[in-house]
Amino acid sequence: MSKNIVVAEDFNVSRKIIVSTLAKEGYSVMEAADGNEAVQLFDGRPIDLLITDFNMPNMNGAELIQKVRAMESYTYIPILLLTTEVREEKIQQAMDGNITAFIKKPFETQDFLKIVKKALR
Amino acid sequence: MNADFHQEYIEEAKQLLKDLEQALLQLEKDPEDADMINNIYRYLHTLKGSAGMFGFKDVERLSHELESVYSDVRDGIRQQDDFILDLTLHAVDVLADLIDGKDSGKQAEKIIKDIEKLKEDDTAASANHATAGGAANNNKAYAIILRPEKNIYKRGLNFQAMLDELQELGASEFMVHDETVPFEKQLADKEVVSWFEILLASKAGLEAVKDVFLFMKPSEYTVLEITDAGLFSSEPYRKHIQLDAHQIEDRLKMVEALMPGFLNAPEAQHTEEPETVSTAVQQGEAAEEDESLDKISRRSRKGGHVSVSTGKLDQLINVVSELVIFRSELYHLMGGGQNPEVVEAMEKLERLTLRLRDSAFNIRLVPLNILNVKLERLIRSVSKALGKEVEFITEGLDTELDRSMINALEAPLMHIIRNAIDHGIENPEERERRNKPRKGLLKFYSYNSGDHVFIQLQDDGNGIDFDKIRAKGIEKGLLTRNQAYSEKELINVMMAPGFSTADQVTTVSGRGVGMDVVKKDIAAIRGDIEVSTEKGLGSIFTLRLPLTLTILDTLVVSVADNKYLIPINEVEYCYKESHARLFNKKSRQISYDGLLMPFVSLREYFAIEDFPEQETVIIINKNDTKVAVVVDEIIGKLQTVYKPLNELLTGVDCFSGTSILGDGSMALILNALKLKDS
Amino acid sequence: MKQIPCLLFSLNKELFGIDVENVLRVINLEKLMKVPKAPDFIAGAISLEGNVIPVVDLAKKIALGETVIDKRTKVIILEVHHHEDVIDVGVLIDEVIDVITIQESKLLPPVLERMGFDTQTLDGMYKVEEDFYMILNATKVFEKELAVLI
Repeated sequence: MSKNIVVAEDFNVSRKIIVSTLAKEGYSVMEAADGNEAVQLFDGRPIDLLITDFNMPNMNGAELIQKVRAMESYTYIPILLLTTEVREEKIQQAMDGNITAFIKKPFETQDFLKIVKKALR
Repeated sequence: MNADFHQEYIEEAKQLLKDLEQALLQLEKDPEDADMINNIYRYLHTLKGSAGMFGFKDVERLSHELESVYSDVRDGIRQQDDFILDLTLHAVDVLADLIDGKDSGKQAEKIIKDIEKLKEDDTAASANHATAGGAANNNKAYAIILRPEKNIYKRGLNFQAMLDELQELGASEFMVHDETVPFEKQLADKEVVSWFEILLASKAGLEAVKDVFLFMKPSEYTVLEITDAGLFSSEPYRKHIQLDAHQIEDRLKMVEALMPGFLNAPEAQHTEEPETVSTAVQQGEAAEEDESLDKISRRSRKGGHVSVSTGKLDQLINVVSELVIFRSELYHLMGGGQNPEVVEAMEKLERLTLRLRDSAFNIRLVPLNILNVKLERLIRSVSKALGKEVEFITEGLDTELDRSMINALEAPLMHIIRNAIDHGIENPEERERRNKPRKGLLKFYSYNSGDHVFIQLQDDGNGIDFDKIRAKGIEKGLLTRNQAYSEKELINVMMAPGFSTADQVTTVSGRGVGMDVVKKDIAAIRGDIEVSTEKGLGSIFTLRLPLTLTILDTLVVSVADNKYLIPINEVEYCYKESHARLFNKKSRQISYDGLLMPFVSLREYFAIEDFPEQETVIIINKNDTKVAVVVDEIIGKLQTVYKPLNELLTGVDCFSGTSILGDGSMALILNALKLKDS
Repeated sequence: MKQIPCLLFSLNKELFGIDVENVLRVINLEKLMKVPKAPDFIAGAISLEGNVIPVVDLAKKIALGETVIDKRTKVIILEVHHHEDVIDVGVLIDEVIDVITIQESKLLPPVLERMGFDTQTLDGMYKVEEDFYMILNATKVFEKELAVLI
């Protein structure tokens, strides 16, 4: 049974890279270009991991994470937040207690996969 | 000693030094490369052995010292570092001088001193630490203190999974402090109120242990290596837990139970070391004295080659492949395994089987240069027959490929070369008119990239004549008049069955073999061919081939009760979609990457009547041709041994081969491009 | 006088024999993998010592009907010679009866009238006590399939 991963990221190129990296590892990936699209995917279906960007149109990462955590089926799912170096500290404070780990962009594929694998344990 | 042999030794030793240098540089790039370390050890060992026989005393001594260093590195007793690397590289230069007969004895002496000092430092260090080290299988002991925040589960962390992961690292003792709520209930409620102390004995390094807690905050975990009893009264530990003498004794007993030999280990190491050294020296001397033994060992080393029939090799590969499969089957039967000792033994078995597999596959690899003579002779005869002048340049002929693949490559390569000289390269007069050198250039180069080997054949001739191909294609009924075709389409037509160029049958290109056969031959060894050409400037034929025929990384998917495999390198994208949404559209297309494309449902294709509610779409991309395939779901990823289809099944072209899965069941490998054609 | 050791077996209530030279072994049918899109007479494939071997519904192949697979179904692994190559193929049978040596000279020509199956695949018939055994020729059985291979 392959793991289901939702990838929310408004920047097309980087979303495609993430998605194809995950697909090659055998994960089933659902993608969303903003928080709104992403939250629609959390309709009760089994989802094992959310990877989301912070800054997105319509609904940003923080709101998305709050909405997801508020749903009973997804209260405890691992969530990885994509960030850029500059803003990390601020976001980290704001998101404390809600997310599993940060992924700094740009990332090395191997490091990224290691974190994903660990989060899915 | 015969002078010829002496000369031979010098040459052999120089080659060894070259290989050694290469390996050292490789190791610098990837210090963890176990194969390289092993190679280095082997080179030094060989160097030492033969040096003794031919009276190169300094070479023998120096390589002996280096060998002992790398033997430790190989066995994990010593860490390879820049100092050792620099020292060894320097030693390679000194060894080369010594073999050339230069008087570099003093420099050799200095390096040997350095190595001796290195060893002394080590013994001093280990005596200080009084660690368990060698006695307990290189295990290390750790004390781990975990103070997870209460809301850890809300962060998406699975505390239980982390503890499981820790257990997989080795034997451990788990203690719960402040268990105001039963631990099981804490896990069930996903609210952790206790804090934890874990003693762990593991081969893993400190960083690997810390890695388990990658998602925890630095304030939530502490990992301390236990080198001696002092740890339990040291500040980092006491910050969390204060123990009395009695409790410390308890802890030490626990560690001893996890890692037998911990309490009284240090002496064992000392007595062992000198013993091994002296036996090695004695063996060297014995070999030198015994004339007959000398001859035998030299002969076997001289060529360094033993011919083995491919049949025997195949047999070996089959058995090894089976062993690999059987190991996973065994693992499967154990249900993952709880007993840490069994798990450890399994891991060792895995490492050994994989190493065995790799060496078995390596035996099959042969360098491309065994084709060189044939190609050169072909070029000579063809260019002579056609009155053309050709300069043949090769590069990367030492690239290695599976033996059977080289056999299979011979015919297609010859054909491409014939074509290049016949149709590509112009005759000398024509070339002069075009301001090209009279001699045409034919370049053959080959290189490794990832798990593929690329072979390129480049000529500086006239390039492919697309008008001619268009005309011929129309004549053969493969193309329609009045339609525009891209160059790529025309190249495809050139390689299509039925496009045999008649005017070449009479001359050298001969035997009526067309490019379609070349393409088929290459496809049969799971390779691709690509052509790029520039009018008036020449063409490049690029062959992309898998390194071996047998190992394949695949995605395992399920369709009804069966499993199928898709080569990973062809997978571009996967997602789930409801059956209704896929099939209800009349167009029966999906949109991907901004384009509409048709999909092939395997259930439908295999004439299975019912469908799952949730389907999985896999976008396959092979040579820029994309196919969307709909399967039930993805089961996982698997490195597997490729088996060609049995002859009776070769007509079933939607599959390219078969494979046996870890649990002993079989799966067919999908040939997605054929699905598109259907 | 040539003597041929033969494996005798039953299939769909008929009795057959095949030259032991062609027989690699007989196994119980386990874990048959379906091969979609394969010709009708291919029942599936099995794994044998690391190789994947197609299993042919012999009854279907020689137009004798169809084999109903049950717990007792056995597979004869045949080695079919084709030029230099040996191709391994499994065929479904009901039961192994015996191994006997037959005299080639005592082979009766196959009855060419309607026997209810394709008699072109036979070397001949052989009488053991009251029973007639039809002696199959492995190469002839797969003649059509071998012809398309290069």
